[in-house]
Amino acid sequence: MPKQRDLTKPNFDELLLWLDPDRDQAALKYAELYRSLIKIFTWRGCSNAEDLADETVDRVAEKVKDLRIKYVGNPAIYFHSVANRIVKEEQRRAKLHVAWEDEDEIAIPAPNAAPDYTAEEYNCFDRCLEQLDPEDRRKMCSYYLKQGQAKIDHHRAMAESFGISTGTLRVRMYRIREKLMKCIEDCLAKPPQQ
Amino acid sequence: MTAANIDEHEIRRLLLGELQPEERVRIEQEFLLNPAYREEILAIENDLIDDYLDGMLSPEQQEKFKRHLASTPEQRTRIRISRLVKDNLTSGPPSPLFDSDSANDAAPVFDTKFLRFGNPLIYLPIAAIVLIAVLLGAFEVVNVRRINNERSAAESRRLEIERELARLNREWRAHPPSNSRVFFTTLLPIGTRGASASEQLSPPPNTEVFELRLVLTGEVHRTYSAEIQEPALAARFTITDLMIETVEGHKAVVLRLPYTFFKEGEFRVLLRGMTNDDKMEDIGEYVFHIKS
Repeated sequence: MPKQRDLTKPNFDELLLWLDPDRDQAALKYAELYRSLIKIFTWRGCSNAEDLADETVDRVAEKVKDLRIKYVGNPAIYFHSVANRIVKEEQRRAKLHVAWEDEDEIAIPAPNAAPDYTAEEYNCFDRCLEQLDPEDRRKMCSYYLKQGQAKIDHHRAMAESFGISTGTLRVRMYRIREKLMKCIEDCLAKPPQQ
Repeated sequence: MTAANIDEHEIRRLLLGELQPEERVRIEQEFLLNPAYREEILAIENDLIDDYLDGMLSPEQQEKFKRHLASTPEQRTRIRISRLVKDNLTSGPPSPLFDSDSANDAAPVFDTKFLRFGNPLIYLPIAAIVLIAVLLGAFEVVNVRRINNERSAAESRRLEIERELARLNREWRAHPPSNSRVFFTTLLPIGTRGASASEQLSPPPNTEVFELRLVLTGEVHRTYSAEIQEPALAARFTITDLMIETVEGHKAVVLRLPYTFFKEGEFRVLLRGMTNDDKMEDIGEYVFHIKS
């Protein structure tokens, strides 16, 4: 169940039904759509991207009974148009581009900054790297072997050795990196063991 | 829309907030509708984060990056974890065997201009064997546990060897040399009727190339990789881009390795196949024992 405050269960069920008649498929589509909306709000520079994604869902859910009857087209496009309106409203309220430095204590690392990781971060990284499929682990190690300008040639050589384009290699590495990052995020979110 | 026609430059401009509203809306809608396109954009976003962390963005781009890609606490956490991953996987001081341009360093080994007769391409597999032998000599087995510069250097050497092994197998298929001393053996996967627990092999001492014919008993895959392991050394190498060949009426994946690769002992080969949706799955395990 999503965490939106104004979203009632009947409306949410109706919303899922609008996304797909199969409940499981609908839940997957909803989760993907929700994550995508957060991304879009982030790229638009909204510091409260999650709140705005919630707001989008709330507004669509309020109208979903009518939409199911009258709206023609992919629901994602309707969600996008509502998201667009919300960004404009935010701009009017001048809440956009809140300086990240003032937002909270999580600072963005400076480029080429010296490592300042905690023991917990190192441990989570080690544990999650171990959990990757051995072949994926090797590919990751190889992909990140170089940095700066040298990595471009390195990635090109790597893609060539696999017989694929650099774009395809990038997507494959993205999938592996997502697994690793999700594992690290989950690991760091767990309370430390006594 | 696929990786072939995605405009990376345009996507980077979107992520940095540089696009006009109509261009932005078009891409965002595609992002919502097309899962493959979504993955590609997210992969480009990762690259942009890496470029930021590597200091490869201009000061103006850095500011835009902070405003658009680091605007939320969740995204800043993600950037910090990206940095953790990068810092721990990227090598320390470059190793001569590895530095990027080990391919260029290796070029003279593959230079066949000195050959005065015959098709020089047939010498490529032989040159690859020589290079692998040199790399193996330089390879030091270390306990790959801690992520640090030493590990990274050893890992780098291992990856370089793997690349050469893949190249040897590819070039052998394209231009099989006629004058190499090849010792071959046909292996069945463990658990198959007729497969021995560990095939005992004694190749003649002058063997140059050891050819493993790994018989397939299941469905055919797009491409194969083989992980070869000698437990005593805890060294493992994965050779990618292997293909099916028909040998003695069997469908088999044929793996060719320089004989210098082997020492006395038991070896295990784990064969994996790539499915049509790009997933690797285990196919079978093959075991043999080299005796002097």
